[in-house]
Order: sequence, then C-alpha cells, then structure tokens
Amino acid sequence: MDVVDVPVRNKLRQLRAERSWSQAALAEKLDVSRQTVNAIENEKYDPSLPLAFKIAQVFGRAIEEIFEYSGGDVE
Amino acid sequence: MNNKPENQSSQGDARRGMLNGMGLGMAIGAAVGLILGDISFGFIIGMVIGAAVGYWRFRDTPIGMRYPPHLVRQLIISGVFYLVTLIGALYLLENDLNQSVQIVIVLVPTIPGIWFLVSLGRAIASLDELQRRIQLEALGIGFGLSAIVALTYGLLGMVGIPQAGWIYVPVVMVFGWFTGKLWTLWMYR
Repeated sequence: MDVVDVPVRNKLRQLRAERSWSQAALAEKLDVSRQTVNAIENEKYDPSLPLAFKIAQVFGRAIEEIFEYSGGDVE
Repeated sequence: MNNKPENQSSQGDARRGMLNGMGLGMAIGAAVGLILGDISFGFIIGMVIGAAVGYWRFRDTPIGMRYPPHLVRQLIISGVFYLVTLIGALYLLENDLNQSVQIVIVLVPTIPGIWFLVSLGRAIASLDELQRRIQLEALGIGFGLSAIVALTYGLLGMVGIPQAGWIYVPVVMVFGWFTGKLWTLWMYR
C-alpha cells in the first residue's frame, strides 16, 4: 500500500549507482540518515530545499537535473 | 568515507527494529497483562514477541535513527533519575508526614522529569528532517491513541469496568508513541 505519495520524481538512485556509492556512503556525504536517502530514492519523501541543493552539490548537477515536478501544470 | 555494504547496515537496522518492537511489545503485553491480572507476565511475553516481530518486520528495511551518544546518555540518566525519584516519592508518601512535606515530595520527581523532556527535545532536534517528521507524526498518533484509550476506558468505568491506576497512563502513552513510530517508519520505508 502506498501511503505517502509525492509529486516529485528524482534520479537519486541512478546517480548513486553510477558512482557505485552505497546509500550509507551518500547519507554520510549529505549528513542525513540512510533511511532518509532510502525514502527520497523510493519517492516516499520530498527533501527540503536546502537538502535538495546539497544533493545537487554532491552530484555536481543542477537541482532540476535530479528532481522533476510531476504534479501537473500550475494554473 | 563509509563504504560498507548495505546489508551490514540492514543488520543494524534490524537490531533497531527489534528494540522498537520490544518496546511496543512490552507496552502491549503490559496492557494485556493489566486486563488479565498479571502485568509482569504480559510485560515479558510482550517484550519477546515484540522483539521477534520487530526483527522480522525490519530485517531488510532501513530505519536507522541517529541520536548523538551524549544525548542518549542524557536521556537514560534523566529517565532513571525520574523513575528513582518517583518510586522514592511513592515510598515516602506511605509514611505519616505533614501535608507541606508531602507536597514537596510529590513535586521532586518533576525536576528530573523536566530534564528528561529537555533531553528528549534536544535528541529529536538533533535528527535529520525526515526523522524529525517521523517523530512528530509518531507523537501525534501516540497522543490521539492515548486520548481515545483514556476516554474509552473512562466510559467503560461508567458501566462497571474497574478503573486502572494512574501509573498505567504512561504505559498507554508509550504504547501509542511506539505504535505511531512503527507506523510512520513503515510509511517511509
């Protein structure tokens, strides 16, 4: 059962796999728990803006290259 | 840099799951034991079953909470102080003391109690953003469950069910918190 549904998709798992980092290693770089990395990867949780910037910085990408809003157009 | 394989972290998470389950099991066991008349038996059985369920449920699920060790120590020490002063106060109140002394004795456990609350607040504040959200949601669920249980049990008292002592209120609250925590951990798994 999907209890948490977030409208933001991300490429965190793919980017992490490209670098052969474990969730624990990425969590350490971001100074968060492995559970948080796992929840973001599984799209159960949207990171805050500061954490999203930190993720972008760690991967050397722009935020919009990693996160994509999929909640439809804003009227 | 920590590059340990993820299955090693999962083992640690399973242990934490086991501890969470143990706490929940203790609370459920104590509640069942209270109904059946033997709280200590329910406590132990609940702890064993809860640990097994917690381990089984979270053995492959990352659920790590990261409290700094010094805050964990503060929590344990303040909690122990609270229990010791509470039991001491209960023991002293059995003696024939004048009212002003009794009031002071009753108020003494609130000091380590406040220390415990401050430590708990600092421990939660030290967590990352998702973990803080999990704790907040768990506390909300725990508060709601405690209120429902207390109100239902109060109403049952009106139809002749014997009333439990105030000492069981924290048991119900801890049960609610653990239930809420397991639920939110599962939601964000």
